[in-house]
Amino acid sequence: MAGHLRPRAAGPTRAGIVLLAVVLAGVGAGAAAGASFSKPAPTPVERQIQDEIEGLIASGVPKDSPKVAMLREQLAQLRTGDTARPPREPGVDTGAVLAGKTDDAGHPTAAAGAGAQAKVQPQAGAAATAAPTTTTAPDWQSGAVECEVVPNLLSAAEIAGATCASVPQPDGTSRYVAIGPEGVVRSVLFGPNGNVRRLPDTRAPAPAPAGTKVAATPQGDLRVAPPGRAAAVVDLP
Amino acid sequence: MRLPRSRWLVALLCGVAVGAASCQAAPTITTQTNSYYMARATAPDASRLGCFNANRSGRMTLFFGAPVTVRGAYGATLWGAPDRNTAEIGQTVQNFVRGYAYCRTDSRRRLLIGVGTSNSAINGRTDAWLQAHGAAWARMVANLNAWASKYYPGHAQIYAAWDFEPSWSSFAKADQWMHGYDITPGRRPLYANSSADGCPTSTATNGPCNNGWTQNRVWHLAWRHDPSMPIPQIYATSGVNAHQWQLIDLWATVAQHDGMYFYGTMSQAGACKQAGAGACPGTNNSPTSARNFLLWWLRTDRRTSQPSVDTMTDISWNS
Repeated sequence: MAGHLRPRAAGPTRAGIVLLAVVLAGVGAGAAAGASFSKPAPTPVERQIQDEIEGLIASGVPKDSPKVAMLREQLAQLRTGDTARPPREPGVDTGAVLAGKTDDAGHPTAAAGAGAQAKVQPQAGAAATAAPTTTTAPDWQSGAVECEVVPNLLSAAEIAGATCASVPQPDGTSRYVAIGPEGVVRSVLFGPNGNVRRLPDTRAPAPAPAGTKVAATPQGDLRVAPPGRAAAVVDLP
Repeated sequence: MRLPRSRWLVALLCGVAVGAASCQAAPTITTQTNSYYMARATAPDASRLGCFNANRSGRMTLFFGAPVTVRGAYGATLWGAPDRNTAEIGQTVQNFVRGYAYCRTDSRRRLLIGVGTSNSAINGRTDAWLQAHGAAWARMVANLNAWASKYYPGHAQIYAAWDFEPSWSSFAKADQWMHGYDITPGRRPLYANSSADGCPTSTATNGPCNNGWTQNRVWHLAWRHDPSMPIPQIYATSGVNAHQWQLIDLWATVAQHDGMYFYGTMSQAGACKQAGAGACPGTNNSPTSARNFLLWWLRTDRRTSQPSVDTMTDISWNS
């Protein structure tokens, strides 16, 4: 920097040195303040990702590993986001959605009224303090469905060779039902607010081999029609 | 590699003792989050769930069910609820993020959301179908992250997640899905929220796991693919799941010279509580116990030791 200054004719005085120091300190403080405005301190998640990067490397993963690079990219994206001024998402009314005044695609329902189109800003103090209340709209799938494991409630062995169905109930809950080829009916209740549990097994009147047709009844039971046999209704628990 | 019985006892006590100093399980940064099986996914449900998590920060997963075709498009089951295609799943995730953003009061919180499927019920699928589904999942997640980066950059990032379990499909079928995911341009990191069921509990010699899988095969999917970020299921209150993963890590370190790094643990205490007493006996670790078990077992061998395990996420049903 000194090379860009015009040489002084005489040496600096003590007052001049003090003045220069004050000016430099002021400039430095200003720069620091500016830097802190443009680069806020890392958030806890950003510190976590930095910790993961250091952990990866400490564990022997090369610094140029794709896994390290991947995390660095995530961290950089988050840091950019800290100071971003994102555009408002068009056509979104989260307040209306939270109030159940829109359909599944986020469009206002007829009952929502014109006010549902209003855009809202994130609202301080709106955080839920209790478990979310789920809706009981009659949108459950009815009839035969893919057989699959329900963790802790219906195992891979129990669905092997089974015929499966989803059966809505009049009370708004649903039964996920797997009828084994031997005719054992295994049911899992899906109710609102995390009410998910295995119900007692029952037995169909006849075995249910591959090709068995199933259909939910309006009463919440299951009509079962094994190949070549008459259909029978199974009362579900 | 067989450990004395006393070491098992110490591991058990370590898992039970929350934050026990003797376990050396004091990572510098730890976050505890909720993850969910998404058995309901309507816009109000997802938004409320996001709002409910407004006080959380860190890595978590929204799990959908088995990969399926939904009205001609790729998608996933939701157990008792209607199947959803990737576009509809995307809407669910967007609503979750919006609810989180709407309700969050601490601007320093961020959610790193995994959007997950599984290897359940895929044995009957063709290899081409599985690769295409993996690719469709990769595109969905990448698009969701681009959306979040545009509108909610200070709130959330979107990742993929995958619950692969040896008992649920052949390795070959699971590998096809992962291959399709990994070769897709722009694919995002993927949380491997996986199990190691049936894998060895005392040896690190590429021993067998359930259903024809091996330690190598579990490692291949949980780590070898670049996007994979292991956040395994540590459910057993005996700590055996943590030991299984440590042995997989040890085998990979010795035989492949490519040991694993664990980003976190998944527990299921919430789901077990919802399912009622006796629903998952011996597999209902608390989040802290799950983390402590894994960290403790990793530290039983300098070749697998790591300084911390940062994420603790506990899964429950959103129904």
